[in-house]
Amino acid sequence: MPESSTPFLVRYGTPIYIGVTVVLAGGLAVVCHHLYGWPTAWGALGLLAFIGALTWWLPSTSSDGLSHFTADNVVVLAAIPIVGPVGAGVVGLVMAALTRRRIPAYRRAFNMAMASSSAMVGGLAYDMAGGSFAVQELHGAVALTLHVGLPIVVADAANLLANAVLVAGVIRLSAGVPLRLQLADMLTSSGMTQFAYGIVAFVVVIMWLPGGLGWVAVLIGLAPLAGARWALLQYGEEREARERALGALVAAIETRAPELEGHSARVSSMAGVMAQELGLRPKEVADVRTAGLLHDLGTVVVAPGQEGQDHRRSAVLRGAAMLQDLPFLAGASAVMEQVAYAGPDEHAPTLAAEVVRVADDFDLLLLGEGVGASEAMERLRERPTSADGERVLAALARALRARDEAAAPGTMVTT
Amino acid sequence: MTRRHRIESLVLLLGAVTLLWSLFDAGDDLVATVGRQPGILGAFLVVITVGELFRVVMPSGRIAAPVATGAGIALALLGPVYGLAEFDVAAGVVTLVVATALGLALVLRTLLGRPAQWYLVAARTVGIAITATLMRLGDGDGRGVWVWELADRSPWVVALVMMAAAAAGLFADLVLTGLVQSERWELPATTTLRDELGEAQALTFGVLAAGPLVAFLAPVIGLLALPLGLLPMVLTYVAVRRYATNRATYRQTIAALSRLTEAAGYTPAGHASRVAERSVAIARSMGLHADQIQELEYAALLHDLGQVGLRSPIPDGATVLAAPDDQRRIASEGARIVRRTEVLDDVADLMERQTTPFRHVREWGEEVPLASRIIKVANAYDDFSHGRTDVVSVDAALERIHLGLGYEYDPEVVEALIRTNPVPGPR
Repeated sequence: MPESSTPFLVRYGTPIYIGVTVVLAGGLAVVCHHLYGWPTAWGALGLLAFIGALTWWLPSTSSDGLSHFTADNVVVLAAIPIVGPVGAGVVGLVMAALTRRRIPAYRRAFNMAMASSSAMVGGLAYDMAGGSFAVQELHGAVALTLHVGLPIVVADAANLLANAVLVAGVIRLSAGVPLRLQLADMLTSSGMTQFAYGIVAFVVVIMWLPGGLGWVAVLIGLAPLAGARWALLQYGEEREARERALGALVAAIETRAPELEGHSARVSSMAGVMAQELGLRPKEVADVRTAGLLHDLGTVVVAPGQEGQDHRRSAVLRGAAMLQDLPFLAGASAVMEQVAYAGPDEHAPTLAAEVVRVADDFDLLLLGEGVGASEAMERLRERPTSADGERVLAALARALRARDEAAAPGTMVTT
Repeated sequence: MTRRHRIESLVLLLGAVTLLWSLFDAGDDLVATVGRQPGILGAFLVVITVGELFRVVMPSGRIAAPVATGAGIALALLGPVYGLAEFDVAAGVVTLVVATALGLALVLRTLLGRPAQWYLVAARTVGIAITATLMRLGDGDGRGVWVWELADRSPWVVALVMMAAAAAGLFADLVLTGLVQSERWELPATTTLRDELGEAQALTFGVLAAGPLVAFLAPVIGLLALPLGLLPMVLTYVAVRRYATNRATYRQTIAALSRLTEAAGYTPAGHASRVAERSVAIARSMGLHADQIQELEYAALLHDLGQVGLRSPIPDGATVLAAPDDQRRIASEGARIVRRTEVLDDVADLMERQTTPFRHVREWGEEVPLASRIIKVANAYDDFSHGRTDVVSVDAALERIHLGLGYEYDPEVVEALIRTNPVPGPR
């Protein structure tokens, strides 16, 4: 059972966690100050913080989490050799403080502590990897690569990991998403692009110090990324639009079968939560959500007057077949096919399909027969089931409990 | 030279003249330069060739190869940085290296069975020659901008000069490419030029900025400047490719939605995609903007979606034969479904208005978007011809449409329909 269901943690977990993160940032600042002293180039620090804050003012992130444009990452990593780890921590702190979005003070405080801590962790990693803090004294490609380039790559990875761990922690406490899943999701989705963008910091450092360009180096280093940023924003917007276009399929289903109004969305939502409870991978969770949303598509793809004439299985298969040509729905289509092969008294061949089937049956019991949630659960338990089926029913019970708790007053949600 | 390929031939000729000029400009120093800087020139040659193999076709049809273009511009911008002779290459040599790399890439593309267009090589060669020449203007010994030593000038001034020289070359390339495409696709030149220059301006800016980046890095880290300076272009390529692929799957999603009525037997197979294809062809020939064309295509694909709400299908799914009230009901039902997405409201508006007869526009001044009038004509054409392409069916369909000319259908759209050559036979 997840810890988040413990009332104390649900109520106070997030504020305590934010407090711990602020203390961590303070502790890291003390350690870095002890090891490296105060930054000396305050002018450069001010410029980096200002340019970094400007990057946060750009619309940079799309909604899907995959297309994150991370110019801020470049600035923080470039700050490590230029103004030292404490300076990089200050740059991170100021950038997060000046973020344009209107967010509650406690979230801003968390973001500041998180950005600052991640930057200083990156600074420590840079030093441990043999990074130089006197870059202008280095000459030649080999020395610069060994003492700036490679250490920046290490710092990039450390910065990214620290950031992901801190964010995953707060999401675990506020939204109940398991830490391991959230970490895997962040590192495998936006993590790779963030890492790649971080390497541009090496270019900025070379032009700033040995190249003698000063702050112009940041602009020249970031300008070529304008095209990438544009493409990623377009991608994010269109990806969202594509997902929303699926809503039209649902609307078409409900036009043909008005009694199913809202059913698809409820099955999708419940199945998604159950899949997360069961620890399925992010891609599987997404497939389960989509399969839940479109599992009744086959009912539309039938000639007028023929509804209900054929077997449920063939209707589901017809719906799945319609989605097969869409590469991004191949996974969901496969889940729908597996659902089709599960009869009333036999479980589905995969856990993902069983989740969709149970969520569908549960909602139909509530909707069609008007029974309460606990009675619907009892009816589902009465059916013969397998070990997987038991796990899915347990996940359903947990999902219902989490839903009830989220609806209860006094919980603090931060994402 | 046929009339049809006049501009393409002129661009190819311009490319050839540029090459001849490059040989003249490089002159006797060509062999010496290549012998002196084999590493640098060879590295650029390889990067541009490989970069050309990784192209992205943008939604408007524009072909982008950010890594190759960025590398070409970078080579054109290099010069005696900080007085270092090792980066000093004559404009003619730059042009020859880039043209060779592009030609090599084209041969490789042909061998790999990928589309290869010589006019693109010609246009890019001309563009690079312009950038390289501009960078070397203003000084007797051909060192141009680089005689302003970086140490004495603000780096941002030097960066701006480099960007301006790069922009002049790149825009010349885009204009030449746009003109050839307008000729190839038989579209108004203004349409293709607007799409070519207007689409993805941030991408164009990013590619322009890659050159100065490599040029500034080169004196500090030598040849390592090339992979490092082009890293942003590689990231750009990945992002743009992902965007282009996503745009394609978005269209596929809309197409899947449009197939609902076909799969359920309301409309004949392929009707929606044929209407969309015909609508896009008409819109292009009428000079609609790329964004408008995209919305038009989606609306055309979905124009019959509202039929899923019908209790009994109309014969052959031909809305053109349905009563005006039924046509409006189907259109507004389809629009209602599409509005549920919350991102396709404009598409829903086009769907809703496509049943309005042209006389409402002519007599009452009702505002019906051109895109909706186009869908109305394309839909009628497909309904009347039953999707067939033989002469009899096409003639019969055009005749039926002419009966409603000016009353039901917009004459300008019908004229464009005929221009798009619905008559069977080779185009």
